[in-house]
Amino acid sequence: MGSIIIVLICIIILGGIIYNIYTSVIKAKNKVQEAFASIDVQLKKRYDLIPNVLTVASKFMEHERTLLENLTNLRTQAVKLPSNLENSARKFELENQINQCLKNLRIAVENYPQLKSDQTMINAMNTFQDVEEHIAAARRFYNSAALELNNLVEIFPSSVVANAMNIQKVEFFQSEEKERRPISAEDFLK
Amino acid sequence: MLYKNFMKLEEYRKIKKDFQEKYFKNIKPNLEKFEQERIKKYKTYKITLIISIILFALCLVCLFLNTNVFGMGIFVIVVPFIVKRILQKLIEIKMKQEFMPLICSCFEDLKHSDGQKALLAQRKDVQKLTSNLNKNLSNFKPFGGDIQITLPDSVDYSSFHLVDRYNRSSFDDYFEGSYKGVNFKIIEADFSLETGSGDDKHERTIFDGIILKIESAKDFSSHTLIKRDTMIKREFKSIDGSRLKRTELEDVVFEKDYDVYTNDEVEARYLITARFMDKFNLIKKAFEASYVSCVFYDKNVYLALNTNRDMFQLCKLDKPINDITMFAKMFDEIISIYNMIDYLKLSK
Repeated sequence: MGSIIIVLICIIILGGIIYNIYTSVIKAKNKVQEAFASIDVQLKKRYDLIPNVLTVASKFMEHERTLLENLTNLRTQAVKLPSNLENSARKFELENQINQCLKNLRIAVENYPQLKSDQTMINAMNTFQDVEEHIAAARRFYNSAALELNNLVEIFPSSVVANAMNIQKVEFFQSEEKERRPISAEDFLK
Repeated sequence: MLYKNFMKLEEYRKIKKDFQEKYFKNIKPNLEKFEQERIKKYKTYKITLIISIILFALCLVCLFLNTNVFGMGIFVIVVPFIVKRILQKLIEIKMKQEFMPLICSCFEDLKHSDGQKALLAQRKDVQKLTSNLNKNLSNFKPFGGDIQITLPDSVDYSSFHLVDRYNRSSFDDYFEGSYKGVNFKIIEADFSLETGSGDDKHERTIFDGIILKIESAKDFSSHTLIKRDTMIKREFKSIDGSRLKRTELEDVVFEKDYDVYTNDEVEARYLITARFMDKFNLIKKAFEASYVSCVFYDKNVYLALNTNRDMFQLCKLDKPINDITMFAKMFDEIISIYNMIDYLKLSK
């Protein structure tokens, strides 16, 4: 009788531990989804801003057609891409490309004083700056949620529960290779 | 040299030069009369101290003779400290009345007033206004009772968790101003919580320091708190009823000292950037605060710096007044607030 009680207590404790791990994994997974959705919300704001900027820019930037077309194409691809975690890698790749294009656009704008002083452009660029800061914040939130989930997926014993539930590691929203490279003064002095 | 880290050096030099000019031209020559008064008051304090020591010694003798004068003994020893504080305050009030407008004029649009006085005057005005309204509208009571008007500055700072719950408050220095288009308020406050009644009455200090209210340049709608790190993680609720979840930021050093609670994790990261954390720690150092709390709420940034001492002090009873140190310290304290505002403005 005594041994049955001990076994029962052990089963209850074990069950409790497994349930605790299970809830942690589910919470982490949901947090990643929430964070991914918040990135999406911020990116949507950026997608909505791009056409406004392009409309103003195309009036002045005759020589930057390729850049503008490239940005339009990337935006179209990003908007069409269904927003779910499975497409995260492609989404992040597209985002990095859009980001690069926008940086190039900002540099190019410097060569067009008329465009630079255009009020619509100034407003759009200010809003862009704000949206970029929000995207960066959403990115940090996503990466922190992803780290939490990836730790659970990789570290024993939660890894067993995660595997049983077929929960996989998720991609981090990483900066582009170019952005991570140390800045060399020579690049600017060429 | 905290200011050099972020405020424009020329701007700082200009304000400092102005301050030094005003100090040597208008303040220093007028300090002598206050110094004379301080010496007189200091003598009074010393006499009180000597009398209280004699009385305390007498109380001790009485204790040996089995006379119960323990309470009296405690009272006697406390009196000189109370007298010292009152005498110091008396000189300080006069000095502030004379010099504060000058010090404030070194800064762009800054006004100083005595917080308690301002609040009392405001309360009187509001009481007068409500009683007049109630008299004139004696037959018109659409809400079934008298009109109640809430004071604009009697904000309950615990309602949005800037400080813990309190039921007694007192205010000292109060600054109001605008810097680069950003409106701000600096309130020296003391909050305490009184519990129990009769003999079981206890009063615990909740907060003693400075509250900064800065209009935020960043647009936000969430409610975010920065509280000092404690072993026990607490639960907070926003005024709208939403739960403020604890969120872990990426900065390990900041995380070690503070806990962040928010109802919007993205916005919390948008507001609390690495640069903000840097400024946050600098302002804590500048005020030598034991701890700092911060709340982003209702388009304002509130900072509560618990200093446990009288801030913006211009004199001490036992130190000569004609010394620039006290003025320079106050100047640096205001500068560090301007730096914080400068950062918040720049981050627009």
